[in-house]
Amino acid sequence: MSATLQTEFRKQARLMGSAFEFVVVGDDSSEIYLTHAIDEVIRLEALLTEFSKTSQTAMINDNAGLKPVRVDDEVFTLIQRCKKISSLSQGAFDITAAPLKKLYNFKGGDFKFPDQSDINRTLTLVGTDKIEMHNDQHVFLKNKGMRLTFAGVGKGYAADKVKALLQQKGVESGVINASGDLTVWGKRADGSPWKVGIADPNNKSKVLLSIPLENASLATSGDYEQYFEMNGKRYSHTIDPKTGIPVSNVKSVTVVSPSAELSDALATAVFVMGPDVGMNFIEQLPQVHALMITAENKILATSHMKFNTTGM
Amino acid sequence: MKKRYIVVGLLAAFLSAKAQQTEAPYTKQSLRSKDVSLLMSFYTQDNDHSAVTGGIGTEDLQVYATSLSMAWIQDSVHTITLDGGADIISSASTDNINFVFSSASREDVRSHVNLSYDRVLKNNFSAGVNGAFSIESDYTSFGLGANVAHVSADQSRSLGASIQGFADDLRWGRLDNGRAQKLLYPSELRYKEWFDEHNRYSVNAEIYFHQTISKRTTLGFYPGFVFQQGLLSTPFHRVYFEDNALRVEVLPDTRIKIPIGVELNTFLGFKTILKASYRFYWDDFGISAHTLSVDAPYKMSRVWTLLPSVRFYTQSASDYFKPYKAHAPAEDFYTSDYDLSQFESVKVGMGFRYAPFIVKKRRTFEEIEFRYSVYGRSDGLVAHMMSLFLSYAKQRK
Repeated sequence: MSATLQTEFRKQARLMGSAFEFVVVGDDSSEIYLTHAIDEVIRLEALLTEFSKTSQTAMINDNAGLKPVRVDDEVFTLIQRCKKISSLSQGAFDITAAPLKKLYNFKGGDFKFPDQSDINRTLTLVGTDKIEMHNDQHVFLKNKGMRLTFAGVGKGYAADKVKALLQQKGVESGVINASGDLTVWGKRADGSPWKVGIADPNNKSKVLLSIPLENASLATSGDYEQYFEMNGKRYSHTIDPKTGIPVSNVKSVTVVSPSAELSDALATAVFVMGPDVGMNFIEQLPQVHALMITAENKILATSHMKFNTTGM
Repeated sequence: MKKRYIVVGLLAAFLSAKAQQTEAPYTKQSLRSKDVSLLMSFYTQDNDHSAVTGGIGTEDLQVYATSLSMAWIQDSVHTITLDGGADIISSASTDNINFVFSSASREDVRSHVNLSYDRVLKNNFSAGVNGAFSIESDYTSFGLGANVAHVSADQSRSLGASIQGFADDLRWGRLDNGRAQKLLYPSELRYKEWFDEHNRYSVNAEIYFHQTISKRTTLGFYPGFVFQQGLLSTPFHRVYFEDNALRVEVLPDTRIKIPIGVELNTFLGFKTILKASYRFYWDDFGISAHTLSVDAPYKMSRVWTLLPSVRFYTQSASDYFKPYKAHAPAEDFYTSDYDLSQFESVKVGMGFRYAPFIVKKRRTFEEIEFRYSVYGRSDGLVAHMMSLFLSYAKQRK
């Protein structure tokens, strides 16, 4: 490493519907890379968003039940990886589950639990096994009405791509923070490790837990503010892709792993799988850690998370 | 014969009902190592330094919990949410400038302004300065202070020091017509100015030392030192002498106080935390005192916590204290203020905290805390105290 002065450069931008922050450590010549990082996320958003008419996701969805669609290699391999995670997680993570969320109409004012018959009918449109991967990068959704969404993995995928881009340009340490989904690598300008702080929800300026990280990505699933209550039970806005019912036994899950895409997907998967099965699933994956808060406020952590207490 | 079949039948029905209840879409499964390595190989192939490390080079992640969450983690006293709240801790973002204003109301003639600035420095140090101004019907006060603290690298030990200075003016009348007027004496003693000094200066120095003993226990040590100078008595206190003379209370114009405290916090298990503290106090007015207090919050359920507490206090009399008509006329310093006499007191309290943390849109009803205590002093003073605390938060995006 050269002896030039190392500084931390930051830039923020609103991308993929979230507040992104990029940090690179380097000398003055590194600052321009922040703009490259933003450009890359803009490119990926245009590629993957389901809300545009021209994205590749939109083209796949518009041709559901009709014909296969050719996509870029990176989209094709992303879908392959999502299918793999889906099968390993027994279907808890599923990029075809969008029609279920639509049933619940969470954004509308007058919320009503859908009928079981509607749920059953929609479940026939869900399942990554119904995504067919054909030759020459063609993707086909078997049933009409099926919809792909990368909402559960898009930010993570973008973070991994940006990190690879920055590392290729010689940035040896930096941070990508997408509203709390964090990727870090290297060390800070003064040589200390990046410390991820998890805020006290009741006082966002106070740090509750801090975790020093080097080369890791942290993602959390289970927005505490997005929930609804019915008959005294609290339900999140995340729907279980196999039952069509919203998850109710977990408050939040945080996953730490070498990849932002993986952490993103696994956080959702574990949230759906629940305390016993979900945590057991993570224990079997090397270099992956998870922390879960259940509905009863019990805190569960995988065996390689060591808790230390500090002074008062 | 018949009985046995009924029992078997019932058992079978029970077992099948149970099986239906516990049938879940996801079950614990052993993943095939081939599948696992195939998945992980993609995610770790790109970088040389592909290992997730906890910053100290091991496979484990070190999670540092602050003091409150020591109880939370053992005990889940509070709800913790980890989404949207993760961020990189940087010294720049923990710079703190606090500006607190409280203004006078018509009836309550008191207002104060507090300004403080804190900053996190390199090598786990932090420091701050503060200034304060306060005005009450019987005095105005200016304060200035500075503090510094250090936390060890593994966050198990912290050490800090603070120094605070105050300059008080004890004259009355300021709020009536904007100018300080006179010291207020008892009505029958206002024929002369008993004191030509109306200021009081104090310097408070405190050191704290805090150590985590184990996962469940922390220990704190707090020695302090106070020096005061100026008008240290209360101008409107009367003192009666043996010869029936009446004068205003007179105390020396310097005072040194030394408090030393020790505090132990430990998680006892069975959802109970124990907080025990002992404080020794000595000053050169002849007073020495001991305080022992014990709190034991007990978490009854997810939202309810019981808060019992008890406090014992004993103090010896100041050299300058004598009761009504017991002072000799030739004494230089004299007071009959019972706060400076010899006494013991006990305070016993019970409270509860209800902390549902109900979130509706962006508002959170956090908690309500009610405490009731009874205080009794050996000189006959009995007091009942009730307090109510309500906490509510609104989030800004």
